Amino acid sequence: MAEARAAIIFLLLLLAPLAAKAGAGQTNWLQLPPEQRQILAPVASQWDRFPEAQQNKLLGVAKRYPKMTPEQQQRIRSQLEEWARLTPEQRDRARQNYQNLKQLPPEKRKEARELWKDYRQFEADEASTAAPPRSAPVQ
Amino acid sequence: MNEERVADSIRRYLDLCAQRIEPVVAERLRRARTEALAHYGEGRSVLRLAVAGHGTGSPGQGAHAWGTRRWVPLLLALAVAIGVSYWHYSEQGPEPGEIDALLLADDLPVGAYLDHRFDAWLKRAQQ
Repeated sequence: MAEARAAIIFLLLLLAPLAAKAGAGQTNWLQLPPEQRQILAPVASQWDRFPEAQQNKLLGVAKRYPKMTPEQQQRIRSQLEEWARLTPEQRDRARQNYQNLKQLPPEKRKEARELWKDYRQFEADEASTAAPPRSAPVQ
Repeated sequence: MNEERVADSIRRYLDLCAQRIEPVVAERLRRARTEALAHYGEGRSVLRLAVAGHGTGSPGQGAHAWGTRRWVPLLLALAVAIGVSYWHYSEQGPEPGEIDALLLADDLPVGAYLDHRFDAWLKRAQQ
């Protein structure tokens, strides 16, 4: 019987962290450490409304942020607000496409970056032709 | 250990009494023991047999089986815990936010990963 009791206690101890993690709940903005608040500042006003899963992912981003290069940190800061505004489905699609791209060989990934530049250039050209010339005389 | 001392005194007491048993009674006991040992194992569950290990027959093995059985709950608990942990971490995949951090830090903007033309190109490239 003593062995059975020991086994149950052992099992509970092993599973306790999982249960604690599952019931952690949302985190209030003011409960975050100052350094995390600084990194996540672009989403400060929406933070308390984010569901727990989204908060955890953003906290994961903040955790990795200090280990990144200044360029990567700048990209994160500039995209964080837009990222938080996306719907969960859009974020899932972006994650899926990101992972799909990562699985391609390096030359294909390079091609993808070139392609994106071309798209942007094409859009810029289209916008400039569609818009009326700035110096058009007013009649 | 107190448990061992008690067992030892019981054994000595039984040995002493066994010497005083009449030969006829001793023979009947011997036959009963042989018969009991021959049937040892019948009706035991597959799990218990598996735990007991090396078959049946000698009294020493019975004690060994009992010693092994005492660890069964602990071993089962350990197996369950390992299984649950493995399931939990395999379900979870990468740590939360890991992909998001890499995606946001990538030199391709988030907009690229949501662009339908880019999406179509990616699907073609994967084929």
